[in-house]
Amino acid sequence: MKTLTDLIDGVSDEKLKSFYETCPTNDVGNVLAGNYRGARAIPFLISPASMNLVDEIRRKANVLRKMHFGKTVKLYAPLYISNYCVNNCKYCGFRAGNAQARRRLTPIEIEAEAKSLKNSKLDSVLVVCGEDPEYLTVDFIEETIKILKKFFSSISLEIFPLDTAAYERLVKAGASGLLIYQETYDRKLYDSLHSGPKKDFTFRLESASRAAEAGFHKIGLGVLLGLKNWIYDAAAMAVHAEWLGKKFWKTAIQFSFPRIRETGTDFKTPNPVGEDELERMMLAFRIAFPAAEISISTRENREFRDSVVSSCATMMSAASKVTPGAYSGLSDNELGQFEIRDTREVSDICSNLKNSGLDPVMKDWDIALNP
Amino acid sequence: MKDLIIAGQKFGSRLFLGTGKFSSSQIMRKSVIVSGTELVTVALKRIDPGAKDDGILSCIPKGIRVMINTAGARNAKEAVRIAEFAGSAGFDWIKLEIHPDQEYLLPDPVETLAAAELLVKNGFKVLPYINADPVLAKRLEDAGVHAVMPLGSPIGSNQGLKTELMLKIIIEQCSIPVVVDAGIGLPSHASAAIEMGASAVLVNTAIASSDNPVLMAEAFACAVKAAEMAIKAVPPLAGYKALATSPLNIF
Repeated sequence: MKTLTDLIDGVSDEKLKSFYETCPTNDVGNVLAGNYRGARAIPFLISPASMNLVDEIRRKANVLRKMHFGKTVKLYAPLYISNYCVNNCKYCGFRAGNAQARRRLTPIEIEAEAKSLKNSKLDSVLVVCGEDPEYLTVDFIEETIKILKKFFSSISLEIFPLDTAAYERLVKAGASGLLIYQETYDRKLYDSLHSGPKKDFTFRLESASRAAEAGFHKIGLGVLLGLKNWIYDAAAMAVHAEWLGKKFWKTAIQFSFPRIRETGTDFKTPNPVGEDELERMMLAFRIAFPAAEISISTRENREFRDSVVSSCATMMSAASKVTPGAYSGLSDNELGQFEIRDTREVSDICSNLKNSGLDPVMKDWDIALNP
Repeated sequence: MKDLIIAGQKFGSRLFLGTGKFSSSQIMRKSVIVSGTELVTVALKRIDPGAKDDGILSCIPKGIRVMINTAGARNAKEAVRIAEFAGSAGFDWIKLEIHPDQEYLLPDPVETLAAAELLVKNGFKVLPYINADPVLAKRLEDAGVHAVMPLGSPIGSNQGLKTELMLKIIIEQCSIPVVVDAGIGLPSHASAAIEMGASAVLVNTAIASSDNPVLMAEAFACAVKAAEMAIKAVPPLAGYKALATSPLNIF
């Protein structure tokens, strides 16, 4: 059996290019007919030929979305606990080299943030932090989870890569989901964008496997759109997801598709991804991985979010603030990790969803499911 | 046709409903009422079982049996913990579903049997969701569960009774009620299950994900009722070969 690294390194621009020179529309129809899915379906669904079938693709995605998730949308919010970071990712507002106010919340402040979030009725929280061993230890994340457990049914983490033993501790503390975005699956490009501990491509790539082994119920994959051409990263992420699904068949997989946003850095996005392309990619993943959750963040504007939650996405963040302490008024939201496009309050999002025939779901987890 | 009695409770309707996937709790409530069902399942992960004003529980009309399901559980331990949470809030009917498989949500027979044995011992009314496996059904019956709920096809797939042959064996061999759960996509599938001899059917996606859930709930109610009436009327057998009209049935 091929290793994950072999499979990922087997994805190449050249292969995709020659594939697209020959892929006819009727091959896409073959995928839509349900003859196969998973990683091999993705290149067809985002092929140039697929552009003639956008309506069929949207319809198929919508059917599968309804079949697997009904008319519900899960809401959650990110909770930034620290923006100290030793990494120097060229595209990130929290990069070490960026002069900006840094804060790590204290346990009391985390509790205050949790209370503010809970007031908006949200019950699912995503803990986010930068990587800085001096300020942010596994002990501290563990303590954070224990505080948040008092307020929320579901706690997921978007944190720097850890080893299996550390992941096990966090599962035991009460975290059910782990998001680890590869940013880009192109090893060379990855290397040129990162410095600091994050530079280790393979350790990051294998985080999802370690997390699944450690017992997380859900693993979130994602790429930062705009770094590499999106076709490549979509194909590689699909390969990663399929490999994980076969090896860790008890672990649910979810996908996110964040596009690079203004960050206060002078980074020029090398391969900007348009809204149409983003939608095509999301629809493709809905069809190729019909049981996987797809999340859409407040990086995108409300019109786009409202449209994709009815066609393919199943989760959305709501009223997000991307600076530590911003929910409870400890700090303003100006120096966040990225710019927010959809600033609606949770209650507005809920009433908009209801008006379009979707049920906003706050609780879809229970502490009874944690060890 | 025998009355439908599960764990001592008699049910007037052979249609059970799941409460997930609806566009709102109000639509769910209307669908439940129109369907005439007397039993619904609710996922513990979606509710706060202790709260009086829970958004889902408060929309279920009084008098309808609420059976808590263990959706989300990947093994016996997690399922048992969910049941215990439900039990401490006063819910002792458990739809035991353990599906570690993330693609098709197929039930794990090994974990299901282990959890069922423990829950029965602890006094729960246990209705396990299983693959259409006759031997597993008998093992669960021996363990003391109150009904078995074999699938017609994978959850939410709307493909109908693809497991027909095995369902027939389960129905023939089990002395406890057999509820066909999962895969029923059309009222005709529900009719076929009842005509086949199933005690009841459990439907969710086909109703909740349709464009008009309330109308679809009514359609299912009619289909189940029609099949029930047909069985009472004793349908003539298909085929050309003559058969005894009064078969010996003294045992």
